[in-house]
Amino acid sequence: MTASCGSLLEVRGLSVEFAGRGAVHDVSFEIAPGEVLGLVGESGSGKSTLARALLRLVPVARGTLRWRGEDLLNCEGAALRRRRRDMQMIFQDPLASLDPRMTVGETLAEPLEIFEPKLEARARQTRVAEMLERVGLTPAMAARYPHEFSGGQCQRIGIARAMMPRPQLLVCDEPVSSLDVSIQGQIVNLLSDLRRHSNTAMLFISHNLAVVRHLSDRVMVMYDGRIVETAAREALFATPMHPYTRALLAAVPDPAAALH
Amino acid sequence: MSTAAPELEQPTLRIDGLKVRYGNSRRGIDAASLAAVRDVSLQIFPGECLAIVGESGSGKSQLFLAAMGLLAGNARIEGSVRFDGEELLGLPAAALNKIRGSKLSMVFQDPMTALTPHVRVGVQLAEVRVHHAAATWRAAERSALDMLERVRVPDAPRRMREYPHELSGGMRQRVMIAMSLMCDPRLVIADEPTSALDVTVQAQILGLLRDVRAQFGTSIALISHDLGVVAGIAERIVVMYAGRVVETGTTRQLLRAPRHPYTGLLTRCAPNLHAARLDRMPCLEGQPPSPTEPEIGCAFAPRCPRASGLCREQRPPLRRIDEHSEAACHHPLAP
Repeated sequence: MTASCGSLLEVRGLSVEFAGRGAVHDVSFEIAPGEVLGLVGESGSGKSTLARALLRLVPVARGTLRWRGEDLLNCEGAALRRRRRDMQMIFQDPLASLDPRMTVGETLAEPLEIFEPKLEARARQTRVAEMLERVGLTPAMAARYPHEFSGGQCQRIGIARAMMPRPQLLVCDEPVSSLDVSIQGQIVNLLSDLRRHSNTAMLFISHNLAVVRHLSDRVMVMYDGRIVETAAREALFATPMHPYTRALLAAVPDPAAALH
Repeated sequence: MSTAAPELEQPTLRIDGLKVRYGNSRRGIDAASLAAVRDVSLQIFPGECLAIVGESGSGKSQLFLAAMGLLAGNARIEGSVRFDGEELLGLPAAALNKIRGSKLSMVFQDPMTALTPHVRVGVQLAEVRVHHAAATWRAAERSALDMLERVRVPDAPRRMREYPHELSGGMRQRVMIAMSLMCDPRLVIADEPTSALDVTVQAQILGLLRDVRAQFGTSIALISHDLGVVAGIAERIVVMYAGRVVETGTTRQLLRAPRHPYTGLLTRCAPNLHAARLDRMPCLEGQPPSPTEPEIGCAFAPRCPRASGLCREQRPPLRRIDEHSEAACHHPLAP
């Protein structure tokens, strides 16, 4: 890692359109190596589309994407696959994002077969076992199928799968919103540990500011396809500038208020 | 909100000793079958909002699906569910159909799958009154429009002609709530009505449920995994864990001084902007027990910071603690 390359991912004037209708308008931001950037907004605000555009999973209408200075939009074939190894994604629905017919071990080994084909089978298994332990599961679980796990455990598997190729950026699209509040913290804390351990940068997407604030260094607020506010975590929560940010803050239920 | 001795009234819904088990098709019900609800009793009084809080798999939805007669065919139900004094369990489908959807209605978590995709919103709403109240289509459609306006759907005449996919998630949930109110229900069961929605829309729907109670005097059973969500509406809370009630109490009391350690931990987990930001997000470690595991001792003991040898051997019964609350714990938290 060279200190001079600055940002890991640099986005300038990014727009995404579906059938001529804009979903993401003129979005610009950067993510530094090891940084966690929170992205907050409601359904339909364009946050998932933005995430998919970064990974080139949906076509970009305008703008530039640079990965360590290299143009991502003109990347094709083998070069694009190499970049995708560096950028992995965690999805909202942990069960739907896993192949029901593959054992957990097969799911975790697959990225290694693709990105590190020279690795021997035994070494692959060791890496799978290590990763299962790191996400709080046991190596014996490699032989089991996704339906045998709870939602929280499936999300741990989804995180393990994403971490297998040792990415530098993890795009987490609402990774806890389908989980019980009692275990949302387990997943957020796991991501926090992984970041400390591997210095992986993250784009952490959520509609709930109370979840975002535990993990993010900076927070971007998206509304109707545009970024309406970006601020360091403490500043955003202490002095929200945009009315929509204030509405989001006010919407988080406050159990203490019920006592008055 | 009156809290005058509800014990004197007849409860709208009274569940006694309810058990729900699922058998294996070959072996039937035996020791290895799955226990979803292990023995639950509760009462909901007229005009009251009772919250049922628990994690996935705690049996909170199964309990009310059993009451509605909506469980899968291989479920075995024991106990009693009385609605306005009438026993619902074992009631023939025809008699049950007169009650459910009209006097006893339900709002589901996912309004997209609960609404019929190819039928216009107005027709789906009107059909409830045609079916249950023998209304004419014309009168039923007028009631439907009126109800959409009462649940504050903007531009209701246009919405009547639209299909569910043309509405946003929040609008669909308003339509579901309108549908549940079409026949002046005595009790609305709302099963995670805001879990599929954004926090901003969630706040609106919770506000609407509060208004519904004030306007219609309907009792509400609010099922949720989030204490933060129910805190602003419910008068009383029932906390479930592994198919049993572990604590009941008034909302105030339960949030201010929870007695069961599980409730205590849950109160800390609700994502909250007002608490200090911690380095670790508060959560419950571990997993709830599998419903196929035999029940030895307290089901929460493996995750409980206060568990002792006694807890692992003897299941604590639900005990009355004071006038309004009960807890099932050998080592309850100090009030």
